[in-house]
Amino acid sequence: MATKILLPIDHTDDQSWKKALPVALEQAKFYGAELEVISVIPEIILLPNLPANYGAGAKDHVTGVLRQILDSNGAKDTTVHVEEGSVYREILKFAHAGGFDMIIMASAKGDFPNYEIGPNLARVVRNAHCSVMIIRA
Amino acid sequence: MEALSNLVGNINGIVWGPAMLILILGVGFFLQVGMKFMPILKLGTGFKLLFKGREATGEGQISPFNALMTSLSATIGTGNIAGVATAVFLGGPGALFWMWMTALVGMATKYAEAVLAVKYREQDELGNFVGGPMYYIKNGLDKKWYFLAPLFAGFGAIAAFGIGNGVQANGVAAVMETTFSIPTYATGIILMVLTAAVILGGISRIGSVAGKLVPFMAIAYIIAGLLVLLINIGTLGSAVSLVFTHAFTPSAAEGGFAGAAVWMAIRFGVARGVFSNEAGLGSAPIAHAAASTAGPVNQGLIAMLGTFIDTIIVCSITGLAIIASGAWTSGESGAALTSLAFETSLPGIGAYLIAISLSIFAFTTILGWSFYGEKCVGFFFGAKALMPYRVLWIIAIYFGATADLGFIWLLADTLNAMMAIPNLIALALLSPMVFKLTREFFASNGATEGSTLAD
Repeated sequence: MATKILLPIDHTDDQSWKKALPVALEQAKFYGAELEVISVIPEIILLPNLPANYGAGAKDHVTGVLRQILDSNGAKDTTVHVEEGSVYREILKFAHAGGFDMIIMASAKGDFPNYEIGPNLARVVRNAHCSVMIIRA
Repeated sequence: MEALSNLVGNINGIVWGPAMLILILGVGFFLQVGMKFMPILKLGTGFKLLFKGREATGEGQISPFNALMTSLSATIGTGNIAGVATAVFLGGPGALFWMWMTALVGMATKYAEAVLAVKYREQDELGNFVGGPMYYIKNGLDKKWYFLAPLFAGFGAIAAFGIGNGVQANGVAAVMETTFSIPTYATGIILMVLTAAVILGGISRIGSVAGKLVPFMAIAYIIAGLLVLLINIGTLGSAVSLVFTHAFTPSAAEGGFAGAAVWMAIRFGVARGVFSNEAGLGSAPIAHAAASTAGPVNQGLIAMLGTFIDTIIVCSITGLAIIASGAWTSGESGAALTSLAFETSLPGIGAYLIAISLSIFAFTTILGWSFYGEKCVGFFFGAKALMPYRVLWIIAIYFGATADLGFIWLLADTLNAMMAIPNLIALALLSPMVFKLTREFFASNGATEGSTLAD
């Protein structure tokens, strides 16, 4: 049972949504749950030799890319959130604060018997307050 | 260590041979001639643009004044204080003349670098502008020259540890030890913590505070330097004549000075000049590419002012202060020599001023170069390699602070030459584009980039 599902996506990696997005949409439909998407970008660090507005448009840029992915894959009404910082920490924080009760996340590509669970996914699985569904790539 | 020193020394002898000096000065001179000495003639226009741009800024745009300040904060570093001193110590007073030469032709080089960086930049996965030599090689040149791009990025990523990290940390540690008796390992640890706070902890505030301090420290340094020259006004004339005579005749040993052949004056003058103003290295265009600017030529005009201010103004003051005060025959080298020159003329404040301004310059340079290094690594591996690189960057600071000065400079010099070679070849090959953009810009009085030049 789920009422709010969170799907973390990396906008530079197709593998993070190609299989996971259809599954997430299916699950949301099945439970009648709400589906939201999160993407975490590295923190923009302003160094003294960079212009003061460096990286100011990053969130909008990533939101735009994600919107395009979602719109063209049948997820037009899905809300997109872009956070800055450490990937797993931001996912966990956001899932907890937003009262999500399921996280759906794609794994990296691996081969039997070593299915690759990356460091971010591993930490999300280990520390999430809710169920985590892993979609094998 | 001994064997490593020898090996680096041998490589250094090859990469800093006559061919390299001809490449640096030759490409710069070729660009100057190709632009009919525009960079020198339009210096006034550059400054006008700079101050006009303080108010008039478009939407989402950084004023040219801020753009220059940001690029200066990475360019003004230990090179201006310790580097000049090392050049005079090893190459004699004539080295200063050859430093000026690198700046005069370097203005054209820097201009061309910034023009091309903006012209051929790309957007990364976060929508930020990225550019620099590896991108103008990739996007501007024929496929058969593509190998220069990874060559530059590879050497750049390694060279950053020398010029942008080890030498800077070493300079701060040395001057802190001589002035305040702080042991080098303590300075190393403090620098590591501060840098980690910015590039790992994301506490940008520390970096931006330091960046804002740079112009003030530069002005304080220039004023103090002028005071030193004023106090030594009696010997200033002979100091200037020493610079010109020993540019072409060998200087004899004197006091603690070992004497230097003309070749040494050229070699160290050019090496330290390039080290200080970074024209031809290909580092600064990485930052210029990030700027939101009206266009390539606008950015180029601002970039070349950086070279002028860095070398013709700041380095000259250091060099002349060292020569006019007589400190150059003392046998001291590096920051200690500059410190001695300032302290003998301005007792009680001179050494402190050097220690503090050098520390701030060096710190902002370490931060600035971490960005250059990251972009070079990012060219190969994308954003995923940034964290390991940053951790290495911070570890290297400690080793830089505690290592031997001579070896660190030697290593940095060698790596600088290696990153300069692919960049200079690319600049020569892309020069027609630079000339074309420049011609169109000035023929249309700036209209090609939507601005008007009032001269």
